[in-house]
Amino acid sequence: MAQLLVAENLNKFYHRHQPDEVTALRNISMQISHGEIVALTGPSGSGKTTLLSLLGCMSRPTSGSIRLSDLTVSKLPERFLAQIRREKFGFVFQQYNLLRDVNVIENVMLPLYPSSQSFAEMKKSATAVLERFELAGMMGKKVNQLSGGEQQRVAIARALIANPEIIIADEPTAHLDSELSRHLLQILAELHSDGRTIIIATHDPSIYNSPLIQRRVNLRHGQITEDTTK
Amino acid sequence: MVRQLKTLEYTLSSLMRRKSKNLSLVVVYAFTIATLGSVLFLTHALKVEATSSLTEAPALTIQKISAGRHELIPTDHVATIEKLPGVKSVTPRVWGYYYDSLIKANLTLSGISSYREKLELLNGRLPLGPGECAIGKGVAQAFGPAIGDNLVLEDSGKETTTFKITGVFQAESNLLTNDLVVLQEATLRDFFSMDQSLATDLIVEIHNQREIKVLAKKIKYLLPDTRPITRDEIIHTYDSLFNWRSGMMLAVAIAALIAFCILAWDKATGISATEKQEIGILKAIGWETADVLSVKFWEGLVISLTSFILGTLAAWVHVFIFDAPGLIPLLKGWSVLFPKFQLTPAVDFYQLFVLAFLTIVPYLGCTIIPAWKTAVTDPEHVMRG
Amino acid sequence: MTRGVAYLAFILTLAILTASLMAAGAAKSVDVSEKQQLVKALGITDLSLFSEARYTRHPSQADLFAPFQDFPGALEHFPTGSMIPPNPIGFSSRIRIQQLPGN
Ligand SMILES: Nc1ncnc2c1ncn2[C@@H]1O[C@H](COP(=O)(O)OP(=O)(O)OP(=O)(O)O)[C@@H](O)[C@H]1O
Ligand SMILES: [Mg+2]
Repeated sequence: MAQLLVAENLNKFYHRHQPDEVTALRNISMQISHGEIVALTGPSGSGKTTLLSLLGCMSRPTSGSIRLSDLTVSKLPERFLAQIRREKFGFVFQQYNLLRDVNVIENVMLPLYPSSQSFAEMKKSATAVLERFELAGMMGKKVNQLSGGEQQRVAIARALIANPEIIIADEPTAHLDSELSRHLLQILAELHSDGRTIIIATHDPSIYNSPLIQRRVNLRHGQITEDTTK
Repeated sequence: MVRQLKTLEYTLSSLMRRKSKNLSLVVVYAFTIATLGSVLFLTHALKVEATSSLTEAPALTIQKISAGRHELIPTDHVATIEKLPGVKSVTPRVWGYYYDSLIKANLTLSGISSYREKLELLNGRLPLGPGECAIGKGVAQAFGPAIGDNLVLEDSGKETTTFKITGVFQAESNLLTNDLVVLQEATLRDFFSMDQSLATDLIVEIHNQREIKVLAKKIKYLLPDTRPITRDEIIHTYDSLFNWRSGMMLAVAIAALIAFCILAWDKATGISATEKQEIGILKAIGWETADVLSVKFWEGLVISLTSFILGTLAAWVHVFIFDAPGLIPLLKGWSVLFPKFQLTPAVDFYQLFVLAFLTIVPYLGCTIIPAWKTAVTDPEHVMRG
Repeated sequence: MTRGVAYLAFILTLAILTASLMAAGAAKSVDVSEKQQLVKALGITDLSLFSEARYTRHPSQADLFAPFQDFPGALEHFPTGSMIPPNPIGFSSRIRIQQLPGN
């Protein structure tokens, strides 16, 4: 199977050459193929979020390289990275990162502003994706009036609006009860069956032990200690 | 184009989110512009008023200077100046001030030597005989007389002289005649007990207007104790009196600009945590730095343009419709006989442009630069919250 | 895109209103000939705008430039005026009006 994401010898240091230097990732090499669904696990501070942000083109490695379908993204200037984030990735953040005081539909539309779509088209796509997550009824509501689970679904809807190939989710169940976690797994299963690649960082055994997850990569002190495919 | 409109749409909705903050910003900003604009409009209109009517001021006014001070000029000089080629006429003038300490008003007493049948802006007529006078509207309003009444002035010798009021200048000429009391020259000379051989100054009219300067130099050369004032100098005085750098402009502008700087400074230093978070989120989900900056650009433009236009409109209405009630006290100072005047709308578009440039551009800078500093950093931090 | 269009329409209307007000004011050619006639007839050299003190009344003419001439509050241009207080002798009117019957 063709490799979608290839990371080679990734190192990430914070505060390089300063007394408080932190090694967040050390010598990470891994490959993720099309349509795979990968769980990143590991104790707090092991570097999961750091690795996700590197793979998701949010930041650049201190050394090493990342290729996204044969494009070496780790060398691209920020302008192109933004375009890649917009076109290839959908992000679901740990804290949702929705704009408070902004209503649901406008939050979902946000990733489309830099595109060439007209405003009406943007609204149409947003409505479609909201309907899919049964959120159509609360389009006009402000985000800070929603429950945690609803916010989670809005965040997922926003991640999906540009129809991305890769979904990156950082501890998506951290704020959810087991009922909602199960619901989220269902959504992930659906997205996976659409043919999307999913990378998900999690502490939650009910996620990484679920039959849906095919592969688990365990991190410790910024290094891969285990990479198992079921 | 579509993209710009979308950006504007986003900008407006983000401005609406902080409605009260942005609204108060527009109010303060527009008020600053209105203050500065009012000063610009008022001073410019006064300048136009002065320079347009004073084009008919005497070509040359000759004063005598003695020991650095103004002094009465000997009428002998008339003959000397008349002999110069190019001189049409030389007229000795008598005029002076008359102070009334009770109402604290300073009148200007002015003598005329030639009679003119009809003056458009004068109700009644100019004084013909020794016991007559014409007065400005301000004098009439301060003391209450009308045409036909008598004005009684007490001279330096404690003797009273009675003048019949034959004319009152119309309100439109207030800026020129407000505090005037016009008398026959001979009458005024008597009143001031000024010797026949002396005059306050001499007025010189000239055939060729282009020779004013040359003649002024000649007169100064022939009569070194005189100070010739050309018409251009008079106009120039008013030009610089109501200039950018005039005291009035400075007094108001500095205060307003300081207020504006405080506003801008607050803006520049105060990019809030929520704003930072917002920029980070937008970048993380695929906005380019340029997209973020164009939102900020529009934000600054919407605020500053709206304020600027509202401010200039308010200034225009303030100055030309309500006659600048907010600024007149500054001009008026301690004057008792202050003319009531209606200004003719006149706008210096160059000054307006400079004002726009000086307020909009710094404001745009203040919105964009701090946002730019935030927007160029990696969006990774939003993942950690 | 209603909000954007609405805003643009609003700001454009406002700008056009302001500009046309100014243009109309600037275009209204006022007749200054009457004022010029007056200036010529009376030999006026200055605006009667600042009658606070004798030395401010005719800014274009030389004069005996003495501050505190008559009115105690009459400050002159320089800081000195605020430091040396004037000392007037008293107030009296030297102007009277005779309002004639039947006028
Ligand atoms: N901006 C930063 N500056 C300095 N150190 C940082 C920074 N961001 C992360 N780190 C450090 O890098 C290491 C990895 O952090 P990371 O957030 O990737 O861990 P994580 O596995 O996601 O933890 P958690 O499960 O708690 O979210 C940690 O030791 C953290 O302190
Ligand atoms: Mg993390």
